[in-house]
Amino acid sequence: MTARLSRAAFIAGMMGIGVLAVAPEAHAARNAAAETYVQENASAALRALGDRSVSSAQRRQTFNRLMTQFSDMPRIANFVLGRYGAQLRTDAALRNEWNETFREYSIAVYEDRLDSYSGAGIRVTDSVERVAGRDVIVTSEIQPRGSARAMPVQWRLLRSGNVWKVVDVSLILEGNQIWLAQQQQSEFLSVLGRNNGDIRALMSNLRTLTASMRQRIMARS
Amino acid sequence: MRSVIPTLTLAACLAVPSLASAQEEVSDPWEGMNRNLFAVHETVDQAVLEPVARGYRAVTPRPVRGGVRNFLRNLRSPVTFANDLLQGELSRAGTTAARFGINTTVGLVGVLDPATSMGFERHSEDFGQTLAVWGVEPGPYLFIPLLGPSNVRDSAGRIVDTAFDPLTWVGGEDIDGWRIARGVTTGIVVREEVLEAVDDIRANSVDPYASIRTSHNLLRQSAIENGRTDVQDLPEFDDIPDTQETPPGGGAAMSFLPSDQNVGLAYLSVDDLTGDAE
Repeated sequence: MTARLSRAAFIAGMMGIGVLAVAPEAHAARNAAAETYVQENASAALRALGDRSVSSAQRRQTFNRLMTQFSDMPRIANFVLGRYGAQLRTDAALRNEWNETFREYSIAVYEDRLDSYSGAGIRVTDSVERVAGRDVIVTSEIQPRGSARAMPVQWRLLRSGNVWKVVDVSLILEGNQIWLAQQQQSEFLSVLGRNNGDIRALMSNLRTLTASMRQRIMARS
Repeated sequence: MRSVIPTLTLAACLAVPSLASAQEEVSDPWEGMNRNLFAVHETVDQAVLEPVARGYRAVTPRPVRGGVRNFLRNLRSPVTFANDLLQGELSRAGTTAARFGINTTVGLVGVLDPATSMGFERHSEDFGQTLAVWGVEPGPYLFIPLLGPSNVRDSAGRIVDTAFDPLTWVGGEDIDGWRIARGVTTGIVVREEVLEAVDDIRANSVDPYASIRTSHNLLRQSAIENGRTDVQDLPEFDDIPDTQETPPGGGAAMSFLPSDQNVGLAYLSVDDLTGDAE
């Protein structure tokens, strides 16, 4: 056993040289302001979820308020429609209706998973500027309550004026990354592609889903 | 038989997109057929696979399930090692070799995973990924009942991976039994791992078929790139068409956080365990 272990360690050691050769590209500058923004706001949001000293309704209300500050919801709502978002530019009523419907859907989705986040902690570990001072990806680790392993999460922030907002979040699952706004966009594009780009039909589907999720949430509480 | 049994494994979904733009939709010219096959899969899953997986969870403590999962993953190490080499990823091949050596010995035939705590993080490779690295396009999307989401390239790659699997070359009277046992066990283990993820997709997705296809595509692409995303390839978030009031109380889709600490929005890949499915 020792011999096999030594052989493996030797191979790994030798290959370690190769690790340096194929390491990911050197990061550009970090952005301390964006890192602080994520650390403070994500921590506050996660704390709100874990606050058992208030009612579930109050907890959700606090979390919703924090997330409103933390994320650029209108921009996300526009992004997930992809090319079909052009309809919103000429129809203000549709735009408002879509933003509200998507917001309600998003809130219901996270409420449905509320318990999974409660008590989790977050630690920002790195960041990289995609566009200096304006578009930053912040890397963090979320430590779910009762879990041994931290979950890597990346946050993409855009700065508009002096305000940072989150526009996308990525999870790293088994070493593979998925950006969730992109995932959501691709799913919506599929639906819209099958219904001739009818955003109102998509909204109808989302409202049905939202109502169903809310029923489950109410039943649990 | 080996190629049949893994069919009992569920598959799942991770995804792979061209991270350059999520708007590059998955090629799915056989969508009608795929949706029908997905419906078949869902029926079988809800009738058989899911109940069995829930039963497995109910009767086994978490450490036992973790040990079974580790054992199956360790068995797949030769497949990952071969594909690491074929992709020219020598350092990753070294990591795989070290993990296999450590976990097979110190880790009690792979039941434990001391290699991870020693800094040798697990990764998974298959011949579909190798073909992608070599420049082979994925071809049309395929949904195979019980195996899950795939594409023409990766389905072909699965066949090649059998050549790297030690159980393919082991003889003996009972070898078919062992192959069957591994396939069935793998199916149960993987399905148990994604119970919450599948529940979530069924409950919260506007189109579960599309959600699985998208997630599979995105995660698969990330796997091909070994998780090395170039931030410059991320899509642009256009400015809002027109300044308008933010809806009151709007929260971002914190839905991004997974309902399960391990899985999240997408299913785990059976491929992670056996290479028999994605």
